[in-house]
Amino acid sequence: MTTRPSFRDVLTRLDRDGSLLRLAKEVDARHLSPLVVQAEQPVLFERVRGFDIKVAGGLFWNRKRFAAALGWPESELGTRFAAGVLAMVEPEMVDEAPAQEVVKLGRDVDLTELPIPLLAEKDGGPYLSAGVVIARGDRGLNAGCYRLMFRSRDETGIDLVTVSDLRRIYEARLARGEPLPISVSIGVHPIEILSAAYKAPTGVSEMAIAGGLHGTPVPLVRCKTVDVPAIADAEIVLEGELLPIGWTEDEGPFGEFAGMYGDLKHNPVFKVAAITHRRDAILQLLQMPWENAWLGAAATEAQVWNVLKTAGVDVVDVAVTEGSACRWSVIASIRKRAGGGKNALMAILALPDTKHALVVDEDVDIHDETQVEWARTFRVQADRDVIIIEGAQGKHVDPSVRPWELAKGQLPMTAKMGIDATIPEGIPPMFYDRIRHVWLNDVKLEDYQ
Amino acid sequence: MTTDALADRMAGLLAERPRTFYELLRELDDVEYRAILQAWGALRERRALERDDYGRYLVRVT
Repeated sequence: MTTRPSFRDVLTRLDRDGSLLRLAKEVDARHLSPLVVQAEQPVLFERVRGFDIKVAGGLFWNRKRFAAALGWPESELGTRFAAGVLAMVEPEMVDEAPAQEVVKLGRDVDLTELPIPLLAEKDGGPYLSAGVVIARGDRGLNAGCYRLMFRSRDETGIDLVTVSDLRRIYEARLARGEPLPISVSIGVHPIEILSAAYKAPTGVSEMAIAGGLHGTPVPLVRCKTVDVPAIADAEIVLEGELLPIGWTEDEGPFGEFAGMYGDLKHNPVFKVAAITHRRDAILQLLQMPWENAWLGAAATEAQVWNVLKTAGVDVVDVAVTEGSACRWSVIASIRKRAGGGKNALMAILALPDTKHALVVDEDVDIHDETQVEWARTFRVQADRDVIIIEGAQGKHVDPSVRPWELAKGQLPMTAKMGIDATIPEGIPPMFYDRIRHVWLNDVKLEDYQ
Repeated sequence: MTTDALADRMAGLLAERPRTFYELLRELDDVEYRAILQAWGALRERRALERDDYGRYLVRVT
């Protein structure tokens, strides 16, 4: 098998760097979610009462942790992702897989052997939230991230309400009255789950993007019971079929990536035919909202870089904001030519998901909230520098578009806002000379301690 | 307590009034989490669970 780091290799690296909290004390599975919320670092729960499976959570909690898990610099999420998309490496099939060290089939299949946690108060049940679902479509393998709600020892719900490649593949099978075989790989390298979360164009393999990001193929292994592969070095793999029953079974509510609950839905059911795993498997817990939101951050930042370059803007840096679910609000710094601030705003707001955009000059560190606030305060006149675009494409998940007032099938619309916080044309830059304290480079505090 | 007996206890709680899964768990602090998963699965297989408009679970007594 190609050697490249696995999920547990990432945990080992974080542990070596002092960036992983290892909890050896036995914990009740009820308390996995709140303990991850309280922890200042990613957590590895080594003993979960009543289960033989370890749990790791909080790896993608914020920009710093997400970048650390990937092993990338924080400032390069977007640029590295964009480079990976351009340098795809197809996955390779392997015969031996750590993910199949233990194989449970038929009556031995029992999802209650996994410490599937309840994540949020109004959730419809315990959820597996960090699975990479692989299915075979007409145009090759498709990988995506879908939540799975525990139903019974061999069934979960799966949310297929939103338009997706998997939904399209399932619909085609459903029309023929056939089940759709899938695999769910849990505990995979962050690059695989990042790539699976990316809405790649139809026909583009998410696992090939992952290979591009790794610089080496993702190893896949044939499943034991269905004709789809799974990620060979995953911690745990669920194999089975999406039953051809359509959108009939209750699923949700679920505390979603935007920080609010989605409704009770009706969805298909995943019938599990096999569970395979490593001998000392680790279940990854992905905690809403921001862990899921950060998975989309790199792709969004890559899109913004691309659209700004296409618009001829000299881009310095791009960052999504966490509170906007790493998607709806974007900050960019640019080297501005006259009118460049407004051009940049129009380019960013043309992206379907972006609702708010803020553009600053290159002297502003966009990762420093105080600096951004300073630019927005002192470089903006609201009557000149704020762009409002009415009637743009919106999202149901945003309550401010009043989705409940829409007729069935009617798509929501939203207003978009751009703020040009670059130095206004006509104001000499000298008026923005920033205070610089004297002898800063000549003295060191530690020399006096 | 057997899985079926725990499933009966859960059904009784959901027959009293609709509850979220979390509210149900809060009533079952004395039970091991894995036993709850097993009993919940058994209750599902009985196809006895319904939902109200808020997504809470309930069991109708007939």
